[in-house]
Amino acid sequence: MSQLRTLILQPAARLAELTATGEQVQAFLAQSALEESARHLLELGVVEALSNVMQYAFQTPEAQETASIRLLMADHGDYVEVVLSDNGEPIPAGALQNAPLFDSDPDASDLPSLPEGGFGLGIIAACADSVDYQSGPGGNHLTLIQRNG
Amino acid sequence: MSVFTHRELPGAHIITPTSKRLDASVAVDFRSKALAIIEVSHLPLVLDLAQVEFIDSSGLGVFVSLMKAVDGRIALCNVGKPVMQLVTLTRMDKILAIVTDEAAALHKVGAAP
Repeated sequence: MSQLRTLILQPAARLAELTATGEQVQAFLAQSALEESARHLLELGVVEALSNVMQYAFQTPEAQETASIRLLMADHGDYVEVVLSDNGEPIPAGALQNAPLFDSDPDASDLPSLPEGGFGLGIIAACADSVDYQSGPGGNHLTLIQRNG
Repeated sequence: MSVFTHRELPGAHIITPTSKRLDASVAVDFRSKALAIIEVSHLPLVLDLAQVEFIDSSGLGVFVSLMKAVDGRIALCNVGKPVMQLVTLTRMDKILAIVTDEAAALHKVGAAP
């Protein structure tokens, strides 16, 4: 029976924390049994979600003062579960479900039209086998589950 | 500390990020410094990603921004698996020239001897 392995991080709500937090996520996932591509994709999704929270969830000085971000990662052996919780502004309703699917090729002949951003939610939506987002009085909770194999 | 090193050859700029992670916390700085270089000397651009282990969508946005600044004359080389995975997921592999190494990248942007 595999042993549960967990990582709990509480980064400050500022973008300067992103790289160090991402490195810890990467190191944790490197020890999981997830396939390489699944591991990279999950790491990417977690970083996108963290970046989103750090940049957009706490826009006012008051919100900054009471900001709380908590990242829980649990390696269950046959799957990895990630729960990102925060007490800031939620992702607008439906935005994650309606995120871009990357289902059409960009048009290289029209350089100015190429997107330089707006990929984040689409990546979060595509980064794991299961993606769930709940928002309420208890805060915002993004749960990602990536299974092994 | 700079987020990349830069070399200017007769026919191209070569920019090599020095950060292992090109994420949203460095993207703004990276973009503005790289654009400043291109503005001074409007040459094709090679991005050598040999030292980059991870990029997020902000890093990818920088690549697109630089691609526009050099009118599409850009090539990426030494692209690792995690970076390639993001580029493929977002279908940017359809528009970004991705080659194996610096020599191939220089050739791709028309700067090879």
